[in-house]
Amino acid sequence: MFAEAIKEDLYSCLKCAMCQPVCPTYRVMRMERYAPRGRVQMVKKYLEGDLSITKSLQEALMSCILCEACAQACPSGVRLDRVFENMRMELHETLGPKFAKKALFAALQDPLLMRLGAGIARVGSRMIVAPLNIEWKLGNIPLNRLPVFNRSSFRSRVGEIVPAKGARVGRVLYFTGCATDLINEDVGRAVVKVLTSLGLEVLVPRDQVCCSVPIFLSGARREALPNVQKNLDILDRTDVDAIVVDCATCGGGLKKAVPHLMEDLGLDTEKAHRVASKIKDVSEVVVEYLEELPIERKTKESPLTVTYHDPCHMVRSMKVSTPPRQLLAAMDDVRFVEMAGADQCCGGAGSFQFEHVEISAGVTSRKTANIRATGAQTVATGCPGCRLTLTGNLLKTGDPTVVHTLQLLAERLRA
Amino acid sequence: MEDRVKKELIAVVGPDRATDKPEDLVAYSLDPHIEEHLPDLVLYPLSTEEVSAIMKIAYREGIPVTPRGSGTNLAGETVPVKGGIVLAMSKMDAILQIDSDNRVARVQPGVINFEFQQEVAKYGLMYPPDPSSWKMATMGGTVGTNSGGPKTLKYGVTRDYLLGLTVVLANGDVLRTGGLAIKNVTGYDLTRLICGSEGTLGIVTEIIVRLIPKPRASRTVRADFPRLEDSSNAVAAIIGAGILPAGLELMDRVVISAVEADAKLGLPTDVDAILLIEVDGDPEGLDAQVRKIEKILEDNKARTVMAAANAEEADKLWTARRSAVSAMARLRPNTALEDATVPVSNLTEMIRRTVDIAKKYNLQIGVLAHAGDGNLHPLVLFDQRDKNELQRVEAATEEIFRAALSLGGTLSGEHGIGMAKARFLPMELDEVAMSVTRRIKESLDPKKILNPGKFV
Repeated sequence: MFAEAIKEDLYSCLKCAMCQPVCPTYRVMRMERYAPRGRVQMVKKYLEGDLSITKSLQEALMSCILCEACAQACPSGVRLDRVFENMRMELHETLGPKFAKKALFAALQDPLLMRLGAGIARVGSRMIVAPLNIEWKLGNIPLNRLPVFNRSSFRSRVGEIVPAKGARVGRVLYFTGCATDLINEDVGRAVVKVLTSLGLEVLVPRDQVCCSVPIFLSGARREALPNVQKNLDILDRTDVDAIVVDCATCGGGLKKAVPHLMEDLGLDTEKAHRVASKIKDVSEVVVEYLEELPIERKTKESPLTVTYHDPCHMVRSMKVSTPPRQLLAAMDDVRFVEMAGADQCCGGAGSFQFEHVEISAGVTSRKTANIRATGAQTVATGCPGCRLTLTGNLLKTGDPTVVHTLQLLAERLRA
Repeated sequence: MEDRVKKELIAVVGPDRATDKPEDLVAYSLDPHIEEHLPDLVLYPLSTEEVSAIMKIAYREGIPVTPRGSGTNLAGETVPVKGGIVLAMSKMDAILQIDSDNRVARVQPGVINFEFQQEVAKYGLMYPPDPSSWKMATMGGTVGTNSGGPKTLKYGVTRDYLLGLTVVLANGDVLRTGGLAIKNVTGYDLTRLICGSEGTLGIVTEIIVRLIPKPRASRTVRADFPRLEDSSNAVAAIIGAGILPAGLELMDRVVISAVEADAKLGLPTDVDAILLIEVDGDPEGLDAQVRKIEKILEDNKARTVMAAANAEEADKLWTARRSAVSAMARLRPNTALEDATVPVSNLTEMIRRTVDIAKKYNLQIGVLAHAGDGNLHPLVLFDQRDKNELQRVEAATEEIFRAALSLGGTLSGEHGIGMAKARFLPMELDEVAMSVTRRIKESLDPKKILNPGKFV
């Protein structure tokens, strides 16, 4: 089902190609098949009945990263992200997902299955990959550079209510996302530490589920609905000041893609919009308290050089780019260096890097070159996906480490 | 296209750089022009040798070949109207040499204009041709259409910077024109013959350009004019005073309103025109020049004159001009961007006539202009699904061309003829000129396989 309102956008395409130079896949491939304009034309001709759904058409549409750079660049306001999301649903409903994706969706949809999978992966990486020093790669990432899963779920250990330190000034709900829950508990701990030290009570509902962005952006929009609706029920509450995320994809999903999904499927969007209006990246919440931040005043003798990578879903879906930089600027012992093309995709995009290895490698190599040119010792970012891709591709001696911005902040809080 | 021939063609570049999949043909059936046509095959060559091998087969079989860079041209130059092969030059994108001592560079045709400019800037050099599409446009495409841009007034167009070309002819022969020497009058100027020929005479596979020292500084001034003719008088007076700005741009009332509604920049919506003037050169001389310009603008009844104090302020002033096409385009589904050009003294009259034509045909038409060289960009808004409106657009466009010609102007200042203006060509070129044009084409492309269905 292709939303009627989005079909109209196709007729506003000027075919001017202003989307070309910002498209990460076109810049690597230099073929219209991999350019937004080419893809838009394919969708238009499909809807007009001149093209039918084939594996080849699927490849053209699924090789898009959904970084939204084209939608931002379009002079006539074509919502290319929504055009592609609708088209992916058409493709999915006709051709179905590949087997590997089916397994991934099943896991993301079922918290128990996902925890089981994470446990097996943890054992596998510790007992097989690490000791044998296997040099295999998953996509462009060496196996030993993949993150190790948490010992157990972060949510199950942090508790559902974490009290504020000192006088309570507010209450936020923390939507942890799967990555923090199962892989990056270091980020979860940093987020909770910073928020509570600001005087915020942090609610971490245990029954929250996967945001399902990876499922519905692949086209499986109907399959994602149960999870999406369950989250909306959990998140739609009047007694929290904000819903905090530490993952750009969860944030962009809840703030923008979920309301779009509901609208496109002709469902009631009221609750989705109510939730969306409260979604904030953790850096947005923290900068509101910038003056009161209990931060260590460290010496500047040998500052840590840090650069910042804008995740696509944070800079474009959520329109958040200044707050993380403000946080970095507030750290006395950090010297911030802006990289060229900070808001350009890192080439990871979740499963994209494993399905489109050649394109992904091309996109990533531009990013890593820009990072290296800054001479930074650390790359801060706000997305577990970007962190995984960058960690897995910054492999040279002297390459920077990659962390979440909040981790740097948490390390610098006064005890 | 016969399977046998298709196989032979695909074998030249290999299956990874050839496609006849329906989606790919759809993606290469277009450029910004309204008409579309499917090719039979798309090939992505990487070398002059591959292009030559392809052309030999195409020539033998009489297959149409349409070369293409990024497909951002504005007159339908790259729509493969007769089907056949689209030669996508986008993968030939290497900067082969930048010789800063001799101030020349050699590039492949798929290099992006903007990226090339960024690269030469590292050597303190500049390549002036800067079409508004510079972030997408390829060097090959700008040679094919002889592109200009805002800097044209002071620095000239693409042909003024070409020193030599490698061109694959229709029969596959490789023609090398010009060379690395800045001065070269040996033989016919074949370089300039190919430049602007829109892919109808050969396929450009290598380009030698000259570069100039990059100006050390620039300054921007904005002026608001309640009356259109005062703005034109100011343009004439600035140039008359011996000042050659690097940019001299005009936005008319319709465009100003659209930009203000879209971007809320604080532009006055009650004036006929806004002029943006940029001067560049040595920083020492610029202040005096800016003062002189301010005085001229005030003498010519500008209501407000603003000089940017620094680069950031200048950038703010230019934001209005840069947002103009987007702001207009968002108003309606389709936008046609024309480029009728008149002698600069007739600029006011041409804008007036354009406004009258818009009224007559009940169309929204805004005017942007490279005012310093009389190059108008009427932006015509419409919805191509409205057949009646589409007819009115065609009639209005024709009337704009007639007006430009009657004022001593031309059909196209910088976009070219392509298929969009092909039928108007005899309005400007007389029988002798048309005949010479045809004979040149026949001698180089007797089978008429190179970009057929276009202006020649």
